Amino acid sequence: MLEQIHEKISVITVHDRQKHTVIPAKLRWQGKVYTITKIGFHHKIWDGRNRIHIFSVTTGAMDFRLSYDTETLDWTLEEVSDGLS
Amino acid sequence: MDSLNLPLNANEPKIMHVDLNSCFATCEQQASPLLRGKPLVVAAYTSPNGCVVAPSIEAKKLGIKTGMTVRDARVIYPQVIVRSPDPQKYRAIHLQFKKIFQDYSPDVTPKSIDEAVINFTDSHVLFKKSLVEIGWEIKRRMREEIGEWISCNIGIGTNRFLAKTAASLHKPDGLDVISSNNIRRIYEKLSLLDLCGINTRYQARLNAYGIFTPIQFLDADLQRLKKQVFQSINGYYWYLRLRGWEIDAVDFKRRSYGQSYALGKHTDDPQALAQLLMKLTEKMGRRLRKAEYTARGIHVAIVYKDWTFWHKGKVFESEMFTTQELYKKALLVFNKQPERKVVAKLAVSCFDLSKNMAMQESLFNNDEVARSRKVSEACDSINDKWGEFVITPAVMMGMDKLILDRIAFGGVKDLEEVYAM
Repeated sequence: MLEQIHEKISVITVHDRQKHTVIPAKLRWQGKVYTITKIGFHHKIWDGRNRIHIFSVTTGAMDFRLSYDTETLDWTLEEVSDGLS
Repeated sequence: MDSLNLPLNANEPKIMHVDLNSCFATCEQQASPLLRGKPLVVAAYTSPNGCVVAPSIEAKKLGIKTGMTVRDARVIYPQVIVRSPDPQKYRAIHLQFKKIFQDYSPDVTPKSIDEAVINFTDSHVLFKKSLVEIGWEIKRRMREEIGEWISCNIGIGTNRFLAKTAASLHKPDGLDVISSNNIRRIYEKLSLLDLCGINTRYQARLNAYGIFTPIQFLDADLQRLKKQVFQSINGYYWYLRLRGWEIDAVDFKRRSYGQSYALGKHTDDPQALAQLLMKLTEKMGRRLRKAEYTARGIHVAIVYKDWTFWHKGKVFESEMFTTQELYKKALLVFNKQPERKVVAKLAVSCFDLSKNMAMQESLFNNDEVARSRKVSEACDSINDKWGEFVITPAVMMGMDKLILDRIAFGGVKDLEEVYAM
């Protein structure tokens, strides 16, 4: 089931200086902490002149679509899916 | 020319065609690992009447095909996963694979969002490896740099037609070469409809002249193809194409800008349709202005709920540039419908483009026209800065937030705008 959420959330990120990457490692949503085990895909989109990073990630049991607004520095949980329908 | 007896092109194949497997569905599976290995379809709408635009490899194996409705797909496999298209994700993947291809040749021609042609004629000499080795390397790099679930078909030939044919031989994840050495063996295994560009109408025409297989097509002499079968220059083109000579390396100029929308909720409400027409025109107008074109023609096409079709185009004297100018004319054309029926799909396009922005000076209202064009450009700048449809014409007030972003099938012209972003 795919569910649209669009909720601001807290995210722990990891910065790798050598690979020059910043990736989400953990997220907290509805009081529960989820550990991200894999980044499925990362891409960037424009919202006007505002750059948004989209991370499609998985915990192994749930897939999440996260967006990071480079203007406001907010993380938003856009979608959650259990990959079943 | 009619007595031409051209041999097969025996040159070394230097054209590579790369085609992503089940592109949209594969992209979704790449992004969401829990979807991998499962029958999945990307559909224009997730509702039962939504049209399947891309089934995953697993869904294809079950018999689910592009063009089916979601309802039909569910009849075949009730647990099929349905997702809406995410054009921005597919464009990002397109840009990534195009970047990989450009490491091998400056001559890369995207054919659509999920396929491209790489011409190695001038660049192969720089690599100390065969095109087959480069093909395997590209496959590996796509998995490493874009995502491990991304796979593609690669075909290599002496022209674009043979390269594309080669790319279709072993799906998914194949790599094949068609050269003068194996071309007859390959043609023996194919049907006429397997040849890119031969549809059922062409097949019937070929059949009428005793051509039932690609080998018979290859062996047909030029005069027969040109004078009898095709009765046009197309016979000559096919004569060259089938023998591996390049005839399709043509770059078509942009001739129109258009937007279309398949309504999830069919309607005949004049206000709702006028609003949708405005929204489509606004989007089309922004693209037209960004590319610094003006247009003189407007075309409106409508598919009704009963699957009947109406369309009309008209060329006007004055050049159109602002959304208001385009909308007024589009509405004029829209109102020419002989009868008002429930609309299922609405499309508007502008044509007769002119790159020169210099306006024909009008004796009257010139200041007003110039002013409205400046306002239009200012509105575009605001929307560029703050996001699509932040500032809109009043007629769009109260309109539902429709998503008009779609990827055109088989089209490459829209990609110009992706590269410019």
